[in-house]
Amino acid sequence: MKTKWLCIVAAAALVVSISAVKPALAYFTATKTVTGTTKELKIGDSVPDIHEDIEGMIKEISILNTGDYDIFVRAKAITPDNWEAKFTPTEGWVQGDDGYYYYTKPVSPDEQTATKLTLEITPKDVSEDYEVPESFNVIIVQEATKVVYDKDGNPVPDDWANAISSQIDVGR
Amino acid sequence: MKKINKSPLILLAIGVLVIGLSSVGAARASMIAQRDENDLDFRTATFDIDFTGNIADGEIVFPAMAEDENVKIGKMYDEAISVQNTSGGEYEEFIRVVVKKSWLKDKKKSLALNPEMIEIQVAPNWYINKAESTAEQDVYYLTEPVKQGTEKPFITGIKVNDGVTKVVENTGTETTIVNTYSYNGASIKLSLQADAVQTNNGDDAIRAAWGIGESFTGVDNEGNEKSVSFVISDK
Repeated sequence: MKTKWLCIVAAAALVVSISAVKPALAYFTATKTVTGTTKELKIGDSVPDIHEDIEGMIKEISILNTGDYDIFVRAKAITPDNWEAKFTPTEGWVQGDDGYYYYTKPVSPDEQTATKLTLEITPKDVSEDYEVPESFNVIIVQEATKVVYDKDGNPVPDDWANAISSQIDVGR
Repeated sequence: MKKINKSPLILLAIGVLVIGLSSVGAARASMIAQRDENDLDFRTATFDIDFTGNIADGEIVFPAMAEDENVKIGKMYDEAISVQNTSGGEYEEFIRVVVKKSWLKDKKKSLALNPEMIEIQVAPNWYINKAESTAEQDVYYLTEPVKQGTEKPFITGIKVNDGVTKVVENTGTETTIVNTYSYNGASIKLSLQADAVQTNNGDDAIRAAWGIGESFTGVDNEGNEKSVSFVISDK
């Protein structure tokens, strides 16, 4: 019995001594770690403000970016039947095929379109006689979408499907 | 043998003696006398690696991105980070870099935001091992040995994918839509770990250190996938 215990003790000592020896066959390795954090993205937005000046039947519209990020804006006018909005080109504004007028430059936060969208509300050229109403409304709908950039940093409009929009009623 | 088995005490004594002797250093030195000038400055060569470029106080910095008031979505910002073999001897190294990307919101990691929206651009000759890639991590390998002192460009740019503007919750009224962007207020956290291993017995060293063979399916910096092999000279 005593012999058996002594054998166990000897075996234990052997195991301990072997495990205490560090591995001799290691390869040279090295490791270095670094981390870093960028500034926060600011892509929150709020509904841009539409500002309108009316002089006779001419509407001049500017749009203010109230969000945190650069935006592109567009607007369209919804007129009563037999009336139409006649677009007068001004720098930066172009007429699209979809009824919208596009401002071609990005609008920075807290800035407004440098030029105004100019629309003249006129009767449509129709063959039938019609009565000019004493008052009418024109609804201006504006939409804004974020500016995204190509890899070289050139601004392009994001998907208009994600646009935010608002409208105002103007008229006389 | 039988005799030894019958004397475990002897066996134990021999074992203890062997262990004891192996743990004792060279105690049998002769008495010598020498002048200080004869002392040798004996140091082992070091095996090391480090990052260079956009690193300040041990952290990655993003000077190009910091120049813009707002981070421009989709723009590739030119940021430069390299790795360098800073070994003290003439050791060559095989090098890999483990890149971990994540989003922080309120200084905490956000699991709801997709790390794949963070795109990094790397220099030529680095290959991603697809087998080790996840949404959050890519492992880039240089297949050629890097000589002592040599600097290898790694990251050359970083951009935010324009997909971040599509993750939006629409609320509001019939005439007004309010968009809430999930990535608004989020910042990028980038973690880089450079690993180096010796080039002698390179195939064994690579396998032992990194757990991969001498060839793997790699993706180059233009997205092309192909089989690549380490250039091992002493095979």
